[in-house]
Amino acid sequence: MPDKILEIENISIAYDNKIVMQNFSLQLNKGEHIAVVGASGCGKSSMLRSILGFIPLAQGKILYKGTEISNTNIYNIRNSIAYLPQDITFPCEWVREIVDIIFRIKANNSTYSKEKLYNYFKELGLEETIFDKRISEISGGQRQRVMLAIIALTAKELILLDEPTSALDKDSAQMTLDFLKNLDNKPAIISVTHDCNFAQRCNNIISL
Amino acid sequence: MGTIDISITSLLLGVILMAIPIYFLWKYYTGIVKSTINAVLRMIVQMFLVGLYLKYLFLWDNPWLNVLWLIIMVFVASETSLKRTNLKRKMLMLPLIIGFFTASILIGVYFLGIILKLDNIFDAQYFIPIFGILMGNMLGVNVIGLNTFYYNLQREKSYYYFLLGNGATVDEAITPFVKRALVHSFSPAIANMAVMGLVALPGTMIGQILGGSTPDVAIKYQMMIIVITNSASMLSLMTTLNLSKRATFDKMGAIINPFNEEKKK
Repeated sequence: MPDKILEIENISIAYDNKIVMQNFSLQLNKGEHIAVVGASGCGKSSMLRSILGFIPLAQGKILYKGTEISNTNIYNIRNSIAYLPQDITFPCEWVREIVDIIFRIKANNSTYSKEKLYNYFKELGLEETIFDKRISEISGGQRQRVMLAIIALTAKELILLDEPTSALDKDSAQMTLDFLKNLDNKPAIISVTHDCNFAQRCNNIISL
Repeated sequence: MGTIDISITSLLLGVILMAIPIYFLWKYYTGIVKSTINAVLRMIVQMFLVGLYLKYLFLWDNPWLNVLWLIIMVFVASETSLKRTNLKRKMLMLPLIIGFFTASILIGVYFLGIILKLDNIFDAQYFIPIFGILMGNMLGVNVIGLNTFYYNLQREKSYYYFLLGNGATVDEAITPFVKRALVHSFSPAIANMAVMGLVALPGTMIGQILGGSTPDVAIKYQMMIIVITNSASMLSLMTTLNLSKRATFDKMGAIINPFNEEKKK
């Protein structure tokens, strides 16, 4: 029987009395990668934020490893999740500082293997030297892959990615997919994406 | 050594000097001539009113009245902070009141009772100016600090949620925003402290020398004033920020917009 990581049961999400997502369900097992596709504004990113507890549900429930997510357990559950939002501005200058920011969070064990990070960089087609570069010096695509490598380093059980390939070409997107598939800890992954090629290569596609 | 009084005629002669800045503000079409004249007139009226009520506070020198004055100042400072930051009253009013009150009492009483060793800490001659300067500085720091913190949190919420979504607690996720608020609100005070006495003679010291104190007494008071204003400002800001978290973040850590709707930034 597969290890159930996440179960989304019949959820609806509403902003200011306007429903952005209705009766959505999903089940995600360990090592499975699901792509969620759909038009802009259909609630894909909101669904990821609801899993993290940033947006309250109007209806339905979300279970993490069989336990319903609530305000009493959300912080513990987030310790097992890695989240990469679409647009993010870092208040720092260097790539290495982003790594420090992530590993300064107590839940992320405070230490990391630089060797492993460099291996991840290599698997994602990046040079080791990118670690010592300014964030402003690297391209959008490189930044996306750097961020993926960093959050993969935290070895969480569930990875939530919002448009992980929006700045990548076809080859880099394929490299990213292979990278995620080959992660040692076999995380469950949800990717919200507009990239149909990428979505088709995931284990499952859900269209909204 | 007494202080020479300034007659009303002399005061008016002095105010005429404001014509210099007003002339240049007018000449270069700055558009702030009207607000400058308005500010000068308001200053004159407000200062006469302050002079009037302080005259009676000193004359009666009643501890209860002095404490009542402090309580009123705490409410006025809290109200002014809300007005200048446009933060929601129901979320921030109580944290502000507690922050101002706690910091002024702790630091003010420490200074008057332990440093100055006053027998009567409610003595109007010390109580009113010390708590007055504490309130003024705390107000300035709170306005800049709270505005910087909540404005940046709203503007860069994706970064906050990124940290939270990767296992950070609310305290960990707000740390970069608190850091920026502290740097922003305390940098001017730290810069002033570093050049104190070199670039300019500070206000408290000038006031004391004009009032008849010797320079060696004046510098000690000046140093103590700098120390207590910075300590009280930090204490009030941190108290307010910490207490406001209950209202500005929900139980899952999501940000609840703390600004009134008309805030356009």
